Amino acid sequence: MLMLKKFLRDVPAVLGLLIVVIAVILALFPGLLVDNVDRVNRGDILQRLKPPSPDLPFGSDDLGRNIFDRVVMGTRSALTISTLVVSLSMIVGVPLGLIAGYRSGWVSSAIMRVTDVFLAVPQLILAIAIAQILGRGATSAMIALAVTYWPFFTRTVYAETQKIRASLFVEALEGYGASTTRIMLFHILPNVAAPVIVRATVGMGFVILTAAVLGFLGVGAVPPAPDWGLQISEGRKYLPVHWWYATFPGLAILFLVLGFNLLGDGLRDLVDPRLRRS
Amino acid sequence: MSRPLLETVDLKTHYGGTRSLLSKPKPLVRAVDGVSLKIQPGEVLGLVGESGCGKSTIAKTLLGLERETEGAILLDGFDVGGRDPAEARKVRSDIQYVHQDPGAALDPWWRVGDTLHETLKIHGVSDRAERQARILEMLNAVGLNEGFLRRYPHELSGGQQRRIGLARTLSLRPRMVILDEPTSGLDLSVQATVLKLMLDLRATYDLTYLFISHDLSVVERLCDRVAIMYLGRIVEIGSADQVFSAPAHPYTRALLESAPTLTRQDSGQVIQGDPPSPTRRPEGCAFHPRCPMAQADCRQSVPQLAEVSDSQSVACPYAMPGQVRPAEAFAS
Repeated sequence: MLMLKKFLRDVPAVLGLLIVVIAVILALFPGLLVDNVDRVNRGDILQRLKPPSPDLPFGSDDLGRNIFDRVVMGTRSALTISTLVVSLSMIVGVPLGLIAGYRSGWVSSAIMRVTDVFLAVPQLILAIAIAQILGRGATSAMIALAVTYWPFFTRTVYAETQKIRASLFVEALEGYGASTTRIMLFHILPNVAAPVIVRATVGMGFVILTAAVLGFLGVGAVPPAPDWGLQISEGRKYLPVHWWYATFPGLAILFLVLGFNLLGDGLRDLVDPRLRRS
Repeated sequence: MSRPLLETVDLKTHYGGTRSLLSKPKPLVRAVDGVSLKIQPGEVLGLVGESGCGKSTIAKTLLGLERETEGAILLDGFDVGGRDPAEARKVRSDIQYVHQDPGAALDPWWRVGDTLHETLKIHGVSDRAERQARILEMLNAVGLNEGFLRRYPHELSGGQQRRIGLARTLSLRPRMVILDEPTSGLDLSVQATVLKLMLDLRATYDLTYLFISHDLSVVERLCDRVAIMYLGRIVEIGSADQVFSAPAHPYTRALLESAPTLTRQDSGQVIQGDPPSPTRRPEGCAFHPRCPMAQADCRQSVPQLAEVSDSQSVACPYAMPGQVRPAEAFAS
């Protein structure tokens, strides 16, 4: 209860949460705002490149499709990709970080050096390269992003695990004869959960942005999918006269990424155990 | 004399000294270097020494967290030494440990009750009702009530944390408990109640204590026998009365000298210099560079413990049991 109160006092974080919640609702039930969800890829060629109007709030694109509908539908693809990528990265990154942080010696060194190699390569370039190799499509973009994002989880978990490993309560548990698995799963994992959740929230924003970049560069989603990056890429050709085509998907990316970042920052302030104890 | 509950024979625990392919060679640290102790059932043995003299390493070795390099550990006359940490903990589950700071020894995210349950679960008590009964009995014994089970560690005071720490360890029904600096960081009134509680618990549960401390006044009050350690070796061991009233080893004398008291006006004689690093142990008697009565042969031979009276042994050939502050020993 106290935590909730503290969170509600943090205005930017609440704003971020609001944006994220709205985005999730729209992704789950696009029918709330879109009249005909199945027709989102069909356009009326006579209505092409119309400016925003009461009928077409965000205007229409070069094929006469309703940009508002396509932006709303893009929420689903953005959130699906980012959720899958972040979960995949966590599944790989968190256990590796736990093992590397708890063990010392060559196991730990090997894991962390591999992580360093992944971190040393610029992420976007690595993602583009992997997506190119795997061929165009949302799945390969997701795999590419997961491959580039897991090292961040490993790093975070590794640092936290090492800190907790050295603390007295872990030493005491060892003294009472607790097994390594028990210590790692029941004691270290909950203690590293907070930074992992923060990392995941910020990561959602990052992945949405990077997925859009991949779509924009033509290695991500394939037309006619209502992907934000793809829409910006298509709309770019009509700038600056038909400004609405690229602007509204861009604003959608901006708001959702902002929402996740604000929420992530708010959570960090909230769940940090050092602040919790005071 | 009856059979000792725990006996160590020439116990040595060394760290490092190995070379590996990838890391820098670590210097050899002789943290514990030939300690022979006998602890009788029911007694309180104090282990006293400066920081870094190997007190905690002895505790870890006895528990099995560190593997001894050499020597034997006998529990009830059975050899329980030379095992892997996991196995050693099982074999020596009669020996348990109370942490120096029992508050920090509790997982901050777990309620105290869950931690107590878990401790028993680790030791194979799978029946929840039995665990609960044992925990309640222990809480009662340490003077706390059931309400504390629902609290988080940071909601407890220092004294309550010690009590929980004691309850946690005693719920395992050990026969011997290693108490590591059990009173550090407590104010005097709490310290007194905690010490009294420890003596009461010893009487109730037939416990044997190995009491690690550098607080001489506490050791004098609580312990039956005292062992003084210097750089991984025991330099003097004897009954508390004997050691405190007539210390023999120059190091023991210096320790007692430098202990602050309320009655003495002048500050006592302070031991010269810092304790040498265990990586660079002086040859011969480790104390000779700081010893006021060092002779030429102190540099050459390592003195062995020898009886100076029926209840006191000293590792110094020139040692004379006597009052603290004999003028001739510290005239400078």
